[in-house]
Amino acid sequence: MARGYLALVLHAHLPYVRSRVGALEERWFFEAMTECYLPLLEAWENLAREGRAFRLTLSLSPPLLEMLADESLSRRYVVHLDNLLLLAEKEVQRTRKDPPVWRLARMYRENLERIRHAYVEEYYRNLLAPLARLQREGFLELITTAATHGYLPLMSSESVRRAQIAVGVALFRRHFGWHPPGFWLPECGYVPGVEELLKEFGLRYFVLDSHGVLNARPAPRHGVYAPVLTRCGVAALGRDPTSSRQVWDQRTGYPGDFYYREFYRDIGHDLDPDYLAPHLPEGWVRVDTGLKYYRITGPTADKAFYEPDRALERAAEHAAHFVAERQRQVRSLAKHMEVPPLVVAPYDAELFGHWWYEGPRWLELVLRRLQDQDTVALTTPGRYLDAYPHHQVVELDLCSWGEEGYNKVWLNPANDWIYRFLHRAEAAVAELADLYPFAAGRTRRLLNQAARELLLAQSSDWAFILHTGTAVQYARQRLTVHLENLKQLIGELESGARAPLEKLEAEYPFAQDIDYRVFSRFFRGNRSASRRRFRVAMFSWEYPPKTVGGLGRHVYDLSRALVRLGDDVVVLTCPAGDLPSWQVVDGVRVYRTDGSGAPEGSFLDWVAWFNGALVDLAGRVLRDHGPFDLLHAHDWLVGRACLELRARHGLPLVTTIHATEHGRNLGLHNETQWRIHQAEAELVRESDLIICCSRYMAREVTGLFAVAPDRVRVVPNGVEPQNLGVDRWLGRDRTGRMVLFMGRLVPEKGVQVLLRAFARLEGELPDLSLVVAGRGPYEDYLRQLAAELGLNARVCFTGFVDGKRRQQLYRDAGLAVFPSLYEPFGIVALEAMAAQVPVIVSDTGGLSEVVEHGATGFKVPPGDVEALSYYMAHVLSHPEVSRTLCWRAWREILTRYNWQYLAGETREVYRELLAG
Amino acid sequence: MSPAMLELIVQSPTVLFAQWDFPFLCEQECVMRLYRLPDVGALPQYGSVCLELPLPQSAGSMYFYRLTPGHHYVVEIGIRREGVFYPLRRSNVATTPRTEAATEEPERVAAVVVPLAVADWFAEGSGAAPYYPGE
Repeated sequence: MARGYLALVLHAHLPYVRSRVGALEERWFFEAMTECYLPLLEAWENLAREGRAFRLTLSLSPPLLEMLADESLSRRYVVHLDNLLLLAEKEVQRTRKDPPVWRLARMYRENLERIRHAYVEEYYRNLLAPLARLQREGFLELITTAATHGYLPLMSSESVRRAQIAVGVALFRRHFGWHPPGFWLPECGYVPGVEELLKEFGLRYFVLDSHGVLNARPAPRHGVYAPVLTRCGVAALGRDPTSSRQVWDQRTGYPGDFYYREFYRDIGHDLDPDYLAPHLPEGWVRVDTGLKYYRITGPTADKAFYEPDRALERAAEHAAHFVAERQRQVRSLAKHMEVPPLVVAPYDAELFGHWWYEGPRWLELVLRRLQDQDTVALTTPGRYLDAYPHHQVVELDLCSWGEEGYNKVWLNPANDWIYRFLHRAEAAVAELADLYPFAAGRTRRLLNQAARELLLAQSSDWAFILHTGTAVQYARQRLTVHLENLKQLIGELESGARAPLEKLEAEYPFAQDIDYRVFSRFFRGNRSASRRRFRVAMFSWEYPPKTVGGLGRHVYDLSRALVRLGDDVVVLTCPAGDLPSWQVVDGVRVYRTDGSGAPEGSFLDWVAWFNGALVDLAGRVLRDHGPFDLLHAHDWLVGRACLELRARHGLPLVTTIHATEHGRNLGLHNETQWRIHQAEAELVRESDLIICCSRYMAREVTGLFAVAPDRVRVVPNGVEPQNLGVDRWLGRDRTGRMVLFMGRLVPEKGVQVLLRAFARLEGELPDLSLVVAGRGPYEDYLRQLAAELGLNARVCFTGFVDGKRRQQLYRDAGLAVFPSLYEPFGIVALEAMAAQVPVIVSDTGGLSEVVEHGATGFKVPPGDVEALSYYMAHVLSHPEVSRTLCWRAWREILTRYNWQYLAGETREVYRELLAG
Repeated sequence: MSPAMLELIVQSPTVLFAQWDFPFLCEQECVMRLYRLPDVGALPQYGSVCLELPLPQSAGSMYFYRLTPGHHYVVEIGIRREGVFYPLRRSNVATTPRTEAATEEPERVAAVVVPLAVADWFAEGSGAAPYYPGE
């Protein structure tokens, strides 16, 4: 029985190259095939044929998978091999009279013949098949990485990271037909939150550099010698520094041994160019051929001839040393650990054979030696986690295995300039994915190719090459090409200027099945593909035309959007004048309680009566309509009824809390407010899930009612621009001299702050007027304040405004201001943005989340009169600022606040609710 | 139509990188402020100002050095008027990673400005002029 385990992890990746025939960069692929992948595969096949039960984890990047499966590339590789064989034969002839070199030339010729035979005759030019077989037979555990090996920590958003992971996993599944168990983070680049994305795609583990695990909180009990779990259950495995140093260290690592082959002395640079011409790109470009005759020898330029037998002896010694070190490690660790220690040894696959010629042979010898002892057993992360699933839970932090352990390799003065372009491109593609949820035909192809070009631009290789300075021109060229291609594709989508779509699709046919919607902020990896139709009973005390605040409009828009998505929605609400007791509004069945018998007394008495009427009404609706899947309550005013119905019929209940009594009144100051607060508390406590419209509201609800945060979901309010008379970008210059406030006239809306700020602008903007549209108990005080400030001639209180008048006010306004002191969401700000009016809001509550300062509007500290007057003057005096704010805000309305998407998010809550 | 862009990116536990793009030149002198926040959701006015410096018109990015691991930072670009700072753009919050040897020594933040050379798809990040306020 082994005392511990060793998990060898090889990560194989090359940048995606597939453009011009004979392009230099194709040689990277050809060299890796000849020197690394085929020799490694040969070693594994030898062991498998002998019945030696080794285990090894191999990560194959999607670009490499695509290139390995590319028919034209495989044919060109055979042509390349044949050309190399010709060169090797010429070398055998040329060196006949020089026995030490002649033996090496023959060795290379025999190696190349063997490789060509294996590739063409045994594998039929397809390496994925034998790799899949080795996995099925239990020798390999195949995993994958991000779509184009994009460096996740430096991507601009979670949705962009998700897209890289989604496409990576999809490509792996397409090539192998099964789901990868683990994921190689490119460059072991971890950023907090990425584990949640991995979990969405069913991935169980990832690998970090040592310090990534050692710096976790709490400190890992077993260092890097046992996996740690993230909160969501995905495991992190830390690299063992000792085994890493023995292979990777430039000064002391095995590959630097003086008997090993010298990488930098190649006949491609040493011999006569005329002799080499038939074997060089374009007949003259000097490149490595792989035929190298010298060994490392020492630190100077003096090199002795390579002696293969001696080199293999050293490889055997190093293999024995490596295994002995692992045995020593495991024996020492096992004494103190309650699980068998796991030594994780990850390496770049290309080290073996390409940089370190003897690497594949060393690895084979290590695998053989491990079979001949019983202290250390080989395993894979997946197998180890199957056997030992319980580990310490920790919080991880940003890290990578790059130089200095963080982001410096990919973000430094040599390459930092790429991110302004990459991040703009990422935002553009993500926005397009939101704007076009159901594209078809040429539009879909344009979007898919745009997604493809972005992924290719995101490859971490470009930033890495710029940092090392090795092929700077090539990296710049690849970035330029992909970003320029993307620009052309977006150009056709935005302005109709035709892009060379067919040419681009042919040039970079990466990820043929890509769906651009993976970039949408609403895309999730674990979304059920089920198109289940929900039967929803929705309860609201307001419903148009009876509206008091924003709640009624919210329910109206949400219910209609759910119906458009195929759900069956019934709204139960209170009476509304002469409107019928039931009607169908845009597919939504609306039932109203009977108004007779309503008490004349207090508001709370009325609410109690209303809830009783709702229960009766629901009973009749259930009889006529059939069963519901769930109940959806909106605020405490329907709480009693929903709780009773939940108890009677056993239906799950989700409640949207739009605002709280405590928040509205900045505390609880009388008996009525306390009773409402208690009703809210009971409803929140008894609901199965709660929806809040903003993160601010979610924090308020969890804090006020002591609710576990994992019971609360955030789905913002949406807005329908058509309701404001706007159906497209109008591009108007907002030169109107009218400032608009729209909302209820209550202290928390902060109109008093606006009046004071407005008064300060008289000197600077004397032609300005202010319209206060709305009604409420605070109106008298505000009118008096306006008079005291001398504003009577410039301020107009309109009272209640209907839809038509509202649209007109938005058309005429040069600026809309919402200086709330408390605002759970701020739907009116969203409406102003949808009406393409620039907005200034208080930096508080939900308003703070709706507006991005300087991008979609401006935010000022609540109650700050001076700051508010400054920004009002700034927007009104700078038309170009106003226009840009309106444009960005409009795009947000079309994407982030689109009711179709938000209804989809709500359906996800329903799905979760019903899944229990 | 490109809005003003201001981003803060982590390079390492003690170094942040800020990049910006203001399509409208500031009429008055623009100022950049770096704040350290008490928690990730806090507004800048509840944080402490680590550094305030004039924003060079020809620059598009800047490195901040000697920051504290495991802390949250945000930058704002704005205008000073009559002694009051009015931010016109606020960045995302960037959190420097913890290190095992985190200490609470007072920060002595330094900034290095990177000039903006070419206004097209690509600009070369060439040499930088060091800027050490107060030193």
